[in-house]
Amino acid sequence: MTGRIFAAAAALLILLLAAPALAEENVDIVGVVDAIDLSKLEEAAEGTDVDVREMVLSIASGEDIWDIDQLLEKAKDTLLSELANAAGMVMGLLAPALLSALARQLAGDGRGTAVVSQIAYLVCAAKLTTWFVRLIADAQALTQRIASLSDAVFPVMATLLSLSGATASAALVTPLSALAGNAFSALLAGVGLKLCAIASALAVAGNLSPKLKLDRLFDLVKAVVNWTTGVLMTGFLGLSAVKALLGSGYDSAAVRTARYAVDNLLPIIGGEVANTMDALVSSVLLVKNAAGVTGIMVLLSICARPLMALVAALIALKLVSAMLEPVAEDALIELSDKFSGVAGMLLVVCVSGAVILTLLLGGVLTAGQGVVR
Amino acid sequence: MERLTEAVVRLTAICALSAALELLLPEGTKKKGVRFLFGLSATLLIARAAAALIA
Repeated sequence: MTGRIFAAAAALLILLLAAPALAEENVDIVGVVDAIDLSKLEEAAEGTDVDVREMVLSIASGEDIWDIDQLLEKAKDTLLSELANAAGMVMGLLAPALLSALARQLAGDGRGTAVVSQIAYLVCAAKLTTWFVRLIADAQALTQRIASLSDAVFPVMATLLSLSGATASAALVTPLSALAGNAFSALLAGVGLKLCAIASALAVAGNLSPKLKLDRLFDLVKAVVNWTTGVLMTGFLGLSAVKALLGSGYDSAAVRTARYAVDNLLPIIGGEVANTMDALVSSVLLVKNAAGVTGIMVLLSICARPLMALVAALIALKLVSAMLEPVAEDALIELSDKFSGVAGMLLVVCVSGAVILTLLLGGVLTAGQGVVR
Repeated sequence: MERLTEAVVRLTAICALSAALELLLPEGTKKKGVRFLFGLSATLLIARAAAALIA
């Protein structure tokens, strides 16, 4: 009986002691969040479901904000709506191709049938071109949004890294984010997406005449886009990994030296001050990680619909070429195949833009972890 | 990039002309000759675009 009373008293004592500490930690977090300028990040998150300040606060204070079922349901709905849009296009492509095949069956291989085939090809090409002009414009808008998100999130992350004492990492984040936000986005939009548009034109032109093919030129453009984005991503990954390693070592040494100095040079209160320093740095690191995760969530929200539209286009066009193969002419099947290749290229360009930003955000999330004991 | 776009536009025009040729002219020596000329001009166009990119 006495043991139980002692245990209850001990638990009460722990709660009484811990409650002010927890409350103080929350106050610290709110103070840090209030001190940083989130307006640009909020501007970048416009049009998404993410409330930036709310999300940063809830992640930093350890609240459970992840409703995985709801997220998956939303992703499924988006994909289904994009697939429904693409299904309309599939019907629009199948109708002229089937009419042309029917004409060939009824009239045989004559000049009239060739004219009908050519008209069917031109109708399909016009529909696909209109669709892809829209997809390329969406991809361009997405690349610009990713660049503006990068411009919005990294000043916040650099400020928080500096506040936590990871000054070397903060100094490294700025040029890398400029590289990711501006140079790579300009390269992806200015070269990658334009090459995708050129590949679309080559896909149409290359099948106009049965005697003048441009298959190899199309393959060349496709290889250039895929290799360029691959090399860009690998180079950026290597650069950010090496810089992160260098920065974290320097930060850890600098903060440990400062803590040692405070602990040993200040008489009597030195230990307490060093411990308080650790608590403050921990709060800042919590907010920094929360801001990083919020940035990733905003990025996912921005990218979800355009990427799913591209996936739906890819699937739809593969389906069209599979359905046309038994009946239609080679030119139409090749056209559909090549446009599915262009959809793949667009997907690669958009995903690489998003992955570069995610890699950098991941690097910033891990930076500064060695600063606290 | 502008030169590349211009080259693709010209290439499309050559392909369209080639398609018209295949539809309109009957098979013969003249058609073969024009077909060869179209092929040659497409090759030269690709070579010029590549040279402009490299230079």
